[in-house]
Amino acid sequence: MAILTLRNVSKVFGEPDNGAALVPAVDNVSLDVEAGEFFSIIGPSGCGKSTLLRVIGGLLPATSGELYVGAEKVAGPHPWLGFVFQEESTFPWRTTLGNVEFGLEMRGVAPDERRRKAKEMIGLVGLSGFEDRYPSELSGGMKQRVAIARALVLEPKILLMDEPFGALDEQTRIILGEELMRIRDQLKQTIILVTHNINESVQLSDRVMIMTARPGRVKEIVAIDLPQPRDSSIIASDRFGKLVAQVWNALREESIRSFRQTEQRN
Amino acid sequence: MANAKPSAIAAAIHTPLAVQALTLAGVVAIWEFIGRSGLLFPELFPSLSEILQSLWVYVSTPVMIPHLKASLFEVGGAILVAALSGIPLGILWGSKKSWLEIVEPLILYAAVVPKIVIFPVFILFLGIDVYSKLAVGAIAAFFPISLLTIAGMREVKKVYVDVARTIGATPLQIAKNVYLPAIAGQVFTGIRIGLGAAVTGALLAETKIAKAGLGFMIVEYYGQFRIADMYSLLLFIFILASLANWAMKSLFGVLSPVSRKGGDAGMYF
Ligand SMILES: Nc1ncnc2c1ncn2[C@@H]1O[C@H](COP(=O)(O)OP(=O)(O)OP(=O)(O)O)[C@@H](O)[C@H]1O
Ligand SMILES: [Mg+2]
Repeated sequence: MAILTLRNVSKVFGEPDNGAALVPAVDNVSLDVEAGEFFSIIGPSGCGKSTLLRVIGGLLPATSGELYVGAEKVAGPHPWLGFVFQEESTFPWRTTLGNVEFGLEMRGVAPDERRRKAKEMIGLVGLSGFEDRYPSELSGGMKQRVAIARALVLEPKILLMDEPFGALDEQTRIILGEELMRIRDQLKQTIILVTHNINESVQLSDRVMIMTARPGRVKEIVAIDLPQPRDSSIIASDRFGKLVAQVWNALREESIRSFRQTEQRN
Repeated sequence: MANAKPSAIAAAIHTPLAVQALTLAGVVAIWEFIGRSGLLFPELFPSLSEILQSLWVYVSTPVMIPHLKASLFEVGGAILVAALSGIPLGILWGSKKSWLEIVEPLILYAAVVPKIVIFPVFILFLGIDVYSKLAVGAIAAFFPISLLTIAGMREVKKVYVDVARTIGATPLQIAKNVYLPAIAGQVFTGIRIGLGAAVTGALLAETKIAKAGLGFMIVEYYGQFRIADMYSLLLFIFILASLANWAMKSLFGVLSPVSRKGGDAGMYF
């Protein structure tokens, strides 16, 4: 059975009685994500990727449609879900350890236990030795590792990631992607990743969902049949190139459409 | 080599501490000159030794203790009341844009009204004892504290709150563990400005109607034409206020883990 199910989920911004123009952001999305799967969502800028992920994460109510985590129908934050955000989100007033302990603290886990779990997770994301550093003393890539550890330490069944490497340079992005693969293999973690980087989506995923220009619909879902486990050397293979081309083919038309949309508005 | 000495002295004089000390010495010298020369009314310019003698009496004998107690109670109580109401209200108002739009203009307008005009109302309800002064001080301190709390809330990144929400934190947990630490710097500044406002409010009220307090004693000395005592008491209050401000600054420096970059507007109050 799927671990996450969306049935005809739509999201429209703006209140009708407010006179504000209605903005349909996500339109009629249905999908199933299997346990252990690495599922990527890719689409042109502003097509509604973040909105869709925020609806899944319970941060935004869907305008219509249903959302199931396991067999449970949900409308709000769910303990099975962990979230890593697009923008920088580490708490600057907490150290690495303090950041990673945050969720355990909120959930009332005893201090010893939460220290042990947090340290273990900090080790897993490769930040051992940086426990007592504040975010201002860490690089962008390290801060994102802290954010990932902060979500993973709560042992979510599904990790939702909104362009976690979007603000990083290409090399850091590839290396962190590779580490994410390692972590996912180690934890058998189900991951839903929003990205607008085609290479990244193919490098990491079992399936890639391509969204249309706004309002975001499901345009196509491409199965990535590259061998598992992978590392970043896979990007040199022929099959990788073919899959990238396939994703780009589906995406090209939408990107052009999205570009025209923005030009019209300006 | 002959130049080395004067330039060394010049360098020493250019340190802030030296400039401050020299300025102080200059003021004292002018004061003494005016007082002794008889250029202006000598009664209004008692000699420094007289003032210091009087100051020594305050420090070494219990004469000021009841008044000090009264003023400390008023100012301390005022800060406590203002912080315990201003910070939670500021967080509540600042946490919703629609509330902020209603409340902030009201507070901004009310903030410029001199709080002492409400003093008669407090006398009616709270009497002429310390509590009416505490109330004036509390009202005066409430505005900077709540306004800076709101200003801090405006700058809290929305994603911090989202992080806490996805983790399943309750609104109260979010207030305590996200908003409060995120705005701590601004709140500290608000409390320090509030301290100045509370001292002003309470002591000013004491000069109107009171039974005890430092402000009350200033007017008493003035009424008895004990000018040296009045000046020394002013000096005493000035030193106390500076000490309190310094103590708060040090305390907040210890309390806030992240070193705050940039200027601190609170240091001027
Ligand atoms: N709170 C909101 N109110 C109104 N409109 C919104 C709101 N949030 C997003 N939108 C609009 O919904 C659309 C989709 O936004 P969203 O952030 O989901 O796009 P995205 O695919 O994540 O874009 P990007 O790739 O730039 O991150 C955009 O047109 C955006 O302006
Ligand atoms: Mg986005």
